[in-house]
Amino acid sequence: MQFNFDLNRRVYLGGAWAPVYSAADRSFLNRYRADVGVEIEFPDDARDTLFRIHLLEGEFFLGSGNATTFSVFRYDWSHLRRSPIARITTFIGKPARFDLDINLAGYLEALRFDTIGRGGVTESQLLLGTAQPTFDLWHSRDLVSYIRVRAGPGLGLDTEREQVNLPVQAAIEGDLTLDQDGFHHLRFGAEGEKLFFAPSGPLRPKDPQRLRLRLEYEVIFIAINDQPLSLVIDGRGSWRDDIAGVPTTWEWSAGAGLRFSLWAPARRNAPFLDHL
Amino acid sequence: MLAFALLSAILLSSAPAATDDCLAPQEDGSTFPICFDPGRGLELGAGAAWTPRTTTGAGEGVTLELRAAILLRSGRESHSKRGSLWFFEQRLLTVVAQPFPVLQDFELTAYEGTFRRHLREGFILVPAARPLRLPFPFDVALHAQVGTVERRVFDGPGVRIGVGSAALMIDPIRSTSGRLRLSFGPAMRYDLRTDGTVWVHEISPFTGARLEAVAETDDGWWAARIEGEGGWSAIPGQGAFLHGRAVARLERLVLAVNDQPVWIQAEVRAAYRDAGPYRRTELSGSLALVMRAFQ
Repeated sequence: MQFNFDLNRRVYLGGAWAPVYSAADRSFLNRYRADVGVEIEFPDDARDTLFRIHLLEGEFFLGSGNATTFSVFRYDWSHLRRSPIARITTFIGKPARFDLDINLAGYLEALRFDTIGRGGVTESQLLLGTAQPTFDLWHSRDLVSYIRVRAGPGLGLDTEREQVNLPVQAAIEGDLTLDQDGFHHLRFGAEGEKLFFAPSGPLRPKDPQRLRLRLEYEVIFIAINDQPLSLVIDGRGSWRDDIAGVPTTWEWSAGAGLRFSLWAPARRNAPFLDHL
Repeated sequence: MLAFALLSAILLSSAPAATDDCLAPQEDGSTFPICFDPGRGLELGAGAAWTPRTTTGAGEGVTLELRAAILLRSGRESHSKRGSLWFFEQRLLTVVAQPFPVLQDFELTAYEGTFRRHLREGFILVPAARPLRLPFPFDVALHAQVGTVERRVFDGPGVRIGVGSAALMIDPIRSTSGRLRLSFGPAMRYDLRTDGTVWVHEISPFTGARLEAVAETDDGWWAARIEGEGGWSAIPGQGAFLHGRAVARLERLVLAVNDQPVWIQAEVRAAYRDAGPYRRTELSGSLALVMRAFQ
């Protein structure tokens, strides 16, 4: 029987209660979230590079404070360098040498659609594509867990105004598998985005900005026919000035729900039990 | 001069011998170099230049300064006169540029070199009927500079062209290393200056003097240098004028990237009726990081 699960290779479907606190209204808005997505992960033959593909990932917030994020394709990878990219010698005090291991990799995303409705106003943005270098601040030996920064430009389309813009993103994010059997996962991120060449409008600044914070914990608490069911708890914050007429304030939300994962094979680096 | 000699003594006394001490061990048994030569390599530098004009001249402030040069330094025993040493110190294609429009400035020097000859016992030979050998406690050195173009955009449309200069110098320190030197002697130079319309020829036929003082630790961690030149130059039909310029530089090795050393360099420059096409009097300085790669 399978006793460990790779949640980075799965087709998942979930739902959560995800109320949002609006500082503008000084009230909680009740809402629900549905999650879907496909995650695929595979290493190269030398195990020096781990590739990740995310397909058809979406979050649909229903109820008050509705919002949708849906990404058709995302591809990124982590790379382990066997030799340092630079060797730094310092001469302040006793000479000391430091090997600089810059784990440079990449991040590509295409066709991500974001829409949000607040105060009777709807803003929608289609990210046609982005290509960004990533720099792993840390990654596990098997490259599955990582903390990284990435930044780069993309090409976007404001679907409300039908105008093209140039979104530039910068993010620090992490995805940690906390135990050998893959039961506990911690994900977090802070992403800033500025939409260049986005024209100003009534009550909307030129080149608006968005900042998103996210912290999520997922734990498998039961498996049904080797398919794990997990509990997901998360907290999020966002700040944006691109919604015309809506005061620019922080918006905080929390979520608690379940996520069912199909496929989810055994982890590559975990033991496989024949019996209990 | 005394202060420079004291500084030289302090720097040299703290230097390890340039042998195996120049390799530091690592935990895995491998080694890495910790000694470098500030007088060799492809020089690339960037830093902040500070230009407070003191008496005359335009422009004032802090701006980015970039510099590049090819540095060659070597020493060898003379092929033709055994027992004497030659020390060569040369700079090729020296470029100093302040690219930003506010204090835009470019200076290119095609070639500059100092050649010093060291004898174990210096002497002056008087070729009398019975040759007379008089003690001469100095090394002799020659400095040459060819092809300088200076364009200070912020100062006006003028250009200065240093056609060439040379100095015959003596050196009382008589070091057997290329890293310690105190040379001074008479100098000549030929400059062309224009304000954009009229060219002016300036000739100094050994009516000036040059000083060079260099002190570096054997490991190259510290380097100090003072260079100065001044005297009277004649402008045909106008007469002579007194002018001079000097630069003092202190460097400390701070790091090496892939064994390419980087020094932090503080420099102070002074000019008396000699800076740029308009013979400005000014004081300026810079603080920069300078890499000398491919040693």
